[in-house]
Amino acid sequence: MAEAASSTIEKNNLTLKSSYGDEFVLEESIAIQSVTIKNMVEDGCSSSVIPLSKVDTGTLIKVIEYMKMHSSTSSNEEEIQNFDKEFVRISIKTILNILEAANFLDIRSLLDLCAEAVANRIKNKTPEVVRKIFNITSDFTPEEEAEIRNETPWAFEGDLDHSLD
Amino acid sequence: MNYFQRLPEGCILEILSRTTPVDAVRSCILSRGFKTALESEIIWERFLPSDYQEIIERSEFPSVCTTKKELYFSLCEYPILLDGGKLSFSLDKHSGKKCFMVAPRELIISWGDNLNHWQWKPHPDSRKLGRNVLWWHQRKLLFHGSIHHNIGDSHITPNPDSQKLLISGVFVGLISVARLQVKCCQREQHMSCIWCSTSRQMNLTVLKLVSQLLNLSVVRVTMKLRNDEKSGELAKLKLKEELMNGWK
Repeated sequence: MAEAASSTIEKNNLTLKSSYGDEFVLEESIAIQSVTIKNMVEDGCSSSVIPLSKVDTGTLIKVIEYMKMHSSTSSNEEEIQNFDKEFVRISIKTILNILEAANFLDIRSLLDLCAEAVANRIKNKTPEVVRKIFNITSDFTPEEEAEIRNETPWAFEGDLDHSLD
Repeated sequence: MNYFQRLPEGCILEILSRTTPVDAVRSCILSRGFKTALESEIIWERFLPSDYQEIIERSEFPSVCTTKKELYFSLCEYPILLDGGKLSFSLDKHSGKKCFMVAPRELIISWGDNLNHWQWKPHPDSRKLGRNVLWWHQRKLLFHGSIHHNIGDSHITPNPDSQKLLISGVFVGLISVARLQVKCCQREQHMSCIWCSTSRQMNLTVLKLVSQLLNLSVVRVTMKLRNDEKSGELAKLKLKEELMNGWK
């Protein structure tokens, strides 16, 4: 019954174009989870293709996968939670790409999910390990580093995690 | 390439504000970019309890700070007195959790007014709480009593993940052995024992409870004290009995 009713409603499609020029057709109702896209639709700028110059193809595929799952009416809360858990089991580099895209596209729940996943790779870890995970090179001199440690010794005490997980 | 370098500042703030205050402070050492990000009002606003303004307004001498970061550390280092000095409020530096210290005069104590059991004496540790702490008046008999205080719903944040509660109380007793037991109750119903300890030397007992309990409304503290080994068995028996009965 419900399916028959929904199929009679005309579905508007939008075309999203990645920075590599690849185009993806998506239902408007799914795409407007992005506040940026929603605003474009409301302003009438979406008649043709929506260019997403800051989102590469691989990242856009992931973002669309996320939006489809989160707008699906057939999946229950538990399925969505499991999906989210699996969704961020990817390289930190990819998570950061998606986070950046979520920020640009203004998809709050995706931004929260990615930021949380990245934060978990920082929590309770030694600065040396965090630098390795995120490929950060220190731009402090050893003296400056020592000074920072002396200013807040309590932040460097305790049983910190040395693993790269 | 540094993965963070091309991220907009907003994204870095989103990430850091989802860590804990101690993680964020430690991240200062990663690079200059992180050190600058840590000055952001957004991060420290998130680390402060959601109802911090409401709490501060209850103080006669609220902290005067120009930035949220300054306010955070001020509340960690210098507790403020609330409700006319009946309650002290501070933040746990590492986690940002709320800490309340209850003035003993505000506690409801079994036989609290009976000078055979308790005496009120000034103590240097208790200055912030109105110069009164509770002294256990040494006696040879087994003491069994209960202390409880209604912390009130207003201090408890509804989200157990974002804010955890830290409650502390100071009890001073001239006792050789003590067993302190602290229970949290929700709407007068028994929930669980969250702190339990025995010690042979407890001239000064500082109670510090960390609780992740939601909607905590009443904290009860039972003290079981004994002065010599002979009464030990009796104390154990009494305690067992009480554990079995639970809170009613």
